Amino acid sequence: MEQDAQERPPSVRQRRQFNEARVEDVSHGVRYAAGAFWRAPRVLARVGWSSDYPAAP
Amino acid sequence: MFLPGLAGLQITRLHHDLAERYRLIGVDVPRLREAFSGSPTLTRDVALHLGLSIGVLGIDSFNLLGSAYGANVALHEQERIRALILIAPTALRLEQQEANGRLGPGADGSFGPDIERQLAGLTIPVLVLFGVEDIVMPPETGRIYRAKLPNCCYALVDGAGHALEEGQPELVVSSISDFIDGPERFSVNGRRGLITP
Repeated sequence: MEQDAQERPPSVRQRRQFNEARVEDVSHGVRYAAGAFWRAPRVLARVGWSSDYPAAP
Repeated sequence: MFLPGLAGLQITRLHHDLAERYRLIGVDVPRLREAFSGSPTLTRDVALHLGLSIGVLGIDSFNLLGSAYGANVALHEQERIRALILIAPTALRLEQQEANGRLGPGADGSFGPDIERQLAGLTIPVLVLFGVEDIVMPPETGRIYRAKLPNCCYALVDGAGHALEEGQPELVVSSISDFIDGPERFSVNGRRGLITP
């Protein structure tokens, strides 16, 4: 059972969760959507700015 | 780089203060526990991919800060990490250690049966912080991390609970800064220490 748990590949649902991940550069006030996070982490897109952050350019 | 706990990425005063001193990047994976539950391999792979994503932002090496459940994910990654800071991690429980002297699989499925070997191989500097008033995880749990991790400092923060970054943000920021700026000179290095206002 334990072995199964370790070797189980990520499910579609789990991959979807990773694809919904977001990355926030708090220092620069940039929020990124990490679309296709699991398959291709290079595909990060800037999606917005936040004036709440202290060093937003 | 900051990995939050189950509550998700919420920017608090701690993060604002850290962002004024360092470049701070937070990563948020929705429904974190569901994603990682019961699959240590998956947890490790996610940690690796989070690290790769940071590389996309042009960052070669970084300090990794993990809070509560996020700290468990952080424990799986040491590629390009200069120092690791764990705030009230929940991966291990004190009774696991006291039952038979050896650790079993992580208490929440973050780790498999080779948890002791994994921790022993984590050679980067690690700071483990617990709040003295933590009622979710006994703060004494930090002793396990100090015993099993080869390069670990363990400190208690006075006047703080499980969300110690909310209870004592100034103390946490100053502790993290001291550690990042000189882990070898950190004041409570090698012994149980209490950080007070």
